[in-house]
Amino acid sequence: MIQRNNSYRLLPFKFTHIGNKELIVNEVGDYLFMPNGTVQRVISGSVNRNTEEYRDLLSKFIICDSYNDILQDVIATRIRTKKSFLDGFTSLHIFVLTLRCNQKCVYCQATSQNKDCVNKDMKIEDLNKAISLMLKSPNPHITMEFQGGESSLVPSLVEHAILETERQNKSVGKEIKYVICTNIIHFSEELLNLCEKYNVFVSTSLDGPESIHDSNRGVSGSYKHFVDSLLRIRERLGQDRISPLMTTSVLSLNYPIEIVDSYRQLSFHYIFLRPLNPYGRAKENEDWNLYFDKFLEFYKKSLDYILLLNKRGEFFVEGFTAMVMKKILTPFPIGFVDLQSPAGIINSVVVYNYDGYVYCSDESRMMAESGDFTFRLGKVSDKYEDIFYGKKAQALSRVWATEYIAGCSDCAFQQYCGADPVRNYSTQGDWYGHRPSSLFCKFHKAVFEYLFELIDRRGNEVLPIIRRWIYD
Amino acid sequence: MTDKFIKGSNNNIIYVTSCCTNRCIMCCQPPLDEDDSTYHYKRNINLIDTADPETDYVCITGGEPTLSGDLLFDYMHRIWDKMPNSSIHLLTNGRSFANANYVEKFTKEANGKLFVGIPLHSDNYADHDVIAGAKGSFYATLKGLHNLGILGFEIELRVIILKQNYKRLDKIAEFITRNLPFVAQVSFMGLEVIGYAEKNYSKVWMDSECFTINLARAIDILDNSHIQTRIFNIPHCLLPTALWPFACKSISEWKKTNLGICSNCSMIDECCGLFSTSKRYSANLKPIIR
Repeated sequence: MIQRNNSYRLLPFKFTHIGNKELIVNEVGDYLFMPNGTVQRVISGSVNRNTEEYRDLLSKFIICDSYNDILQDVIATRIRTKKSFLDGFTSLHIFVLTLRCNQKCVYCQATSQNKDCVNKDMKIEDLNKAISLMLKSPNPHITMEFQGGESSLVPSLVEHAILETERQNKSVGKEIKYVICTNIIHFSEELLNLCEKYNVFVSTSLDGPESIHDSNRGVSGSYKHFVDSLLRIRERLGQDRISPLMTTSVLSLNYPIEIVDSYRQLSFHYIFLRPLNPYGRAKENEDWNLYFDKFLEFYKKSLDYILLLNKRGEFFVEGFTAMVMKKILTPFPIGFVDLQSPAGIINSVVVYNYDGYVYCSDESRMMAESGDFTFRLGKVSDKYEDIFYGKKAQALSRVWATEYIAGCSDCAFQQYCGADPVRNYSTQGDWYGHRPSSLFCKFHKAVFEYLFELIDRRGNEVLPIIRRWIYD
Repeated sequence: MTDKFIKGSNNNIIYVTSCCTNRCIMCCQPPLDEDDSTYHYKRNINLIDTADPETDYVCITGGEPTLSGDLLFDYMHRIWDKMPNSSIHLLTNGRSFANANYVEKFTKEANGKLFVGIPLHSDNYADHDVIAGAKGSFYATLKGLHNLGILGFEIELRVIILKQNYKRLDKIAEFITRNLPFVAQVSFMGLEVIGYAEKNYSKVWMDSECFTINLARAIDILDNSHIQTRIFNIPHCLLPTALWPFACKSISEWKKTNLGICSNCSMIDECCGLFSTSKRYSANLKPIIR
């Protein structure tokens, strides 16, 4: 037992070195940047009470003078708030209505099939059963997302799914948000009518200027179709009812500024810089270590440019940074399933696949395409309890939280990061994963370090901008 | 103080008691140890009875109004009965609300428009307790705030800027966004130099030139976090122009004054003015000429 001359007490915290400083993070995500050697002085009890440092440590709940009940209550409230994304259980229900697609994206994670292929659409009976399962979720707020393949190839299935959900929900009464994920290459009037009538949000993808976009799609003329449909959708549904995701192909890595500008040209005020995922077609083609190193540089350049735009008075959000910074700067959780602990799988998201089976995540069903059914939770005809609380879900729960898996439990970034057993399995061969050799870990640590350096070096300049993004 | 409550006035005040559990080093209305709530009762009842029924604002203050037990609830009910459109601004140190039984009773009684103003002197207990002059006051206030917040009461946090906390205004703002994000408003307040503030002048007074940079940072943090933020009792000439939109005409007409040099100031109509009751003013007051 260390004897402390100042008799203050320690609260749980973790720390790491960034540059020549120590980053100290407490149990609820409050952080302090301190000179090297601070942690040693804190734990040896030599922090002087008459200093701002002592006050900083008190204020960030890293030390206290007594373990009183009220302090515990306040911290308990903070933990409850941080974990409130668990309150309602599964909120995002993904329906893979078809695996067929009209594009040939170079990075396709979904192993999409030719648009004329047979037996790759969801059967009506399976769809109806999946909807019943979805409505059994205890969450009063449900997002029902139609994915593919290309969901616009099966407009009648989309329509049936919405009508059947509306019908079944009459006696259930949940609040349901519909999202259609589509490349909008051929977005028919019929689909527009449906989106208008049921307030369907259109989630699409835009990878950059015409040359990059078309090259990534593997089909020429894609960009032109995209822009045509975009204008039609905006005119009919409103400016904010369609939003794109950007996926960074190997080609994209060379064009950080051009990609951001392509979004601005089309009057978007938001971009989400997303790296490739090592699934599906993308899995085969990369030296992933090199890819992520380059992606990080791409991310930094884009972010820097976006921050400059904001400084010049243009409101433009980088979504990934906004998500991570929300975890760092606020007491609130985020809806981003990749960075949650307990993990997003089952707790926040579940996938009903065209094959009539239920999977833990988008990545899980993608693995199934290559014959690996590890993350299949059951059939849509199974009982809700057997799928969501079954043996497989129980086994996954033993490895799905950063609080208790090795390499995460003592990591300074634990509060900001997430666990991903599916990714561990697909890249490292087991659910538990090995953090020292994990790319997921390496990449996210690098992002956290970069953002904390940004806070430290340019906090007064960039934090007001980023706070506006978070609370937008 | 006013003799009759009228609509549109921010000077309709029920002074409940001089008792308080805190001994704030800058208190402008120093507390007494003996309970004088019955002494004030007759005048208060008369104010309510003779009030204009259209009155839209009544401030209940002290001392610490929650120390008067059922009397506080009696006042609240009478105010809402007589002036149904009235919003009550209850100024309290919040410590009573740390008690679950009190909060339960309060919730039952407080069934009208209410805005609870609670001072938070710091982001850490050490400074707060020194400023409040009472050990344990920080945690009790924090617990009280959480109890009120969970029940959805509208809360105003009041940060009076002093020598003891001016360096940490941005840190106080960050503490609020992390631990008290449910508050409806944060008010940063200049000092009224009277009472203990006059007695302890050299110990507590900090001229605005030393804190405006930190104040701007604090306001930026809160404003960007969608917490309404206001500046009270600091004249425009002491604030950078970026902070003018946050500055309120906060000082009641009856105790508001201006200096001779203010007469040709172009912002005089927007300005909060100065406390006529204050015994000292900033040395940096100057007319704004546009």
